[in-house]
Amino acid sequence: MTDPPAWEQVAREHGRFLYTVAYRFTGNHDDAQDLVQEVLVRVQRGLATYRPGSMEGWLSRIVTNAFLDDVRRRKRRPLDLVGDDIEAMGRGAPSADDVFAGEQLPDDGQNALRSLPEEYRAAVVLCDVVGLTYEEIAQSLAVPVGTVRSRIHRGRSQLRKVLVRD
Amino acid sequence: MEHLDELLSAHLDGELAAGERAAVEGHLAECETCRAELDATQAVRTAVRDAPAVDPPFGFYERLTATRRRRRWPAAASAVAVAAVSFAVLGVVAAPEHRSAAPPVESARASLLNTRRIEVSILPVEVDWSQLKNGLRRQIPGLPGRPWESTDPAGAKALVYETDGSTVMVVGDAPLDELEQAAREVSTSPSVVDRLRDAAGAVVSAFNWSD
Repeated sequence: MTDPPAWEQVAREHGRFLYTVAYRFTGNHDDAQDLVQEVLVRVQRGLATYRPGSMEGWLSRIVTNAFLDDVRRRKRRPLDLVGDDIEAMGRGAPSADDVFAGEQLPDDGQNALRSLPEEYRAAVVLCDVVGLTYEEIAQSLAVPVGTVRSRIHRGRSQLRKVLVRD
Repeated sequence: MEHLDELLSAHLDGELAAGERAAVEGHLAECETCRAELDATQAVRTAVRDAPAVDPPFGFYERLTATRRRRRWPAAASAVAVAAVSFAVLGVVAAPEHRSAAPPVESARASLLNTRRIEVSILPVEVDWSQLKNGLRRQIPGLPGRPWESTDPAGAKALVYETDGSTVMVVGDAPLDELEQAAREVSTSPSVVDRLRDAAGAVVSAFNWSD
């Protein structure tokens, strides 16, 4: 087995890709930073099995798993459910980081993504941001391909309503 | 076939089997509703795909790098690596007299306002100026992070400055002479906290960023 890359190398060469995916998943900079940090921890600890091939595909799996782990963890804590309300997240006052980064992001797609339920958002991000096939997405999310197909289309339908409304 | 619904997304994504694809294309030729749906779905798909890549806040990877390195810092660290480490400590203030007893690397840093556009660090160790002559611009060599300029679309710069026995690093997207001014302000105030605060104030007033 090939050694996994050093996390510094990952950050240097794939930091932008990784951060973009994390930001699409989480919808805000605070959570995106936490998520990227978690990914790099997993990389460093060798928790993710590295197979030579597409580095971005490998990172995508790690960031997806980390994101879904976090979603599941938060859902187990009932008190957090209110705080997790996605609509509220989308409407909340942006942090300084969001404002700063927002200057370079004329980004309707991102705002609409925030409004999607996580399972739709994950499928859409894996398809349209990461570029995975439905089969690969099905493996990442541990759901049948038919479910992936349905989530992607429902996700896009919801996005469309949000984009049109804006 | 009624309407196509989720087959439309699968069609756009090239995820239909040959038989399905033929059926979908046949239906689209007949059905205006589904053609409009297809166009609308494609527009959404394009919007997500074309959304610009997102950069982390200024210095994010560098801070991560620094945080991790501090835990296993070799005694004979190069000045360049020390410069990286100076990003690690948020709000930790190292009084000058404690330097020798402190961990190998400690630094103090101030972020100005909420902009994160100028950061002032005190480096409590000597800098190898041979590696840093002319100041640091665009990229700190050897720093496992991306070049500053790609981190910050406004074009971030870094300066390392030695004055009054303190080594100061200032990173920001302000003009270099303003960064130098911030570094000088840091070095001439009575305590590190005040130094950083004064530097912050000096830069803020210079830029009218409080508006």
